[in-house]
Amino acid sequence: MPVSEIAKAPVVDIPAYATAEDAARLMAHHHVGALVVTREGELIGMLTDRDITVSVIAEGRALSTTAVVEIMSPEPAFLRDHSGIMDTLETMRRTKARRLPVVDEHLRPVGIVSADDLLLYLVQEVAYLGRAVSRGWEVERATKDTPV
Amino acid sequence: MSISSLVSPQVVSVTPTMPVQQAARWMKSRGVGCVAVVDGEQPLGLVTDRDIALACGVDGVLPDAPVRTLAAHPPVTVLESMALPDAIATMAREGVRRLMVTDATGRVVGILSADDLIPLLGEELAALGETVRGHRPAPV
Repeated sequence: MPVSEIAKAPVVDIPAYATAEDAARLMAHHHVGALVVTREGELIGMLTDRDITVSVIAEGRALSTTAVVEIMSPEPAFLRDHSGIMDTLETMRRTKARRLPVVDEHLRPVGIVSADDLLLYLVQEVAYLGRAVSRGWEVERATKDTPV
Repeated sequence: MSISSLVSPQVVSVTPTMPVQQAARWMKSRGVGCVAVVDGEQPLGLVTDRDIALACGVDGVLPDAPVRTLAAHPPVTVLESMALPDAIATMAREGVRRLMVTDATGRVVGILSADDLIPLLGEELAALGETVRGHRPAPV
């Protein structure tokens, strides 16, 4: 299963020269916690809602004059669109990032995958497995009637 | 299994009058994404780093506004004696990933976070995996 198929949230990008206020507005409008920062369409950073709180508001800076490029995480770890689930889990564990951008061969962002997406995917697999096991016993009860 | 042993007791409590900017500084210095706004012993609400970013960036809340402005909704609160499946069901029903946990007197004892439960369930599943693997016939 390629990671691009389980990434649920829309990928929302923002140019590096936009302000923290622009970023907050985009995050609210699209109901996302992270934006991919691009320059000429290429991924150059990640910006989360937490970055705005701890790097702008906590520091007493103004949202309207702080540029995204000043507070983003530069050169973030990323996944390719064909990366698998284990690659994704391993990259998250190594980088301690809960969200990772997914890019194509030209470094253009095509998705963003979160730990929440992975939880939902894995839980669904386990639930299907549970149903298969339970269904197996049901089938035996319905088809085999063995006297003692 | 009750949730009392799973609650994070290092809940960062702030007073209702603390400025939003200071709450943001506490989140940064203590490495947490959420603080509990508590008036005396009464919990008023939870405020997350996202709440602060959007309140200041979109709703025009000033950084010197009191943090209680952002704790608009009473927190979803459960007793520490609650069983784990009931606590998870409460999270699902209320659509929240954090519960404020109190003792029988109403005093806040900590926060139960969905993030704390994922490793626990993962460990249980891994233990099950080892059991199942142990029962598999050895390859010939």
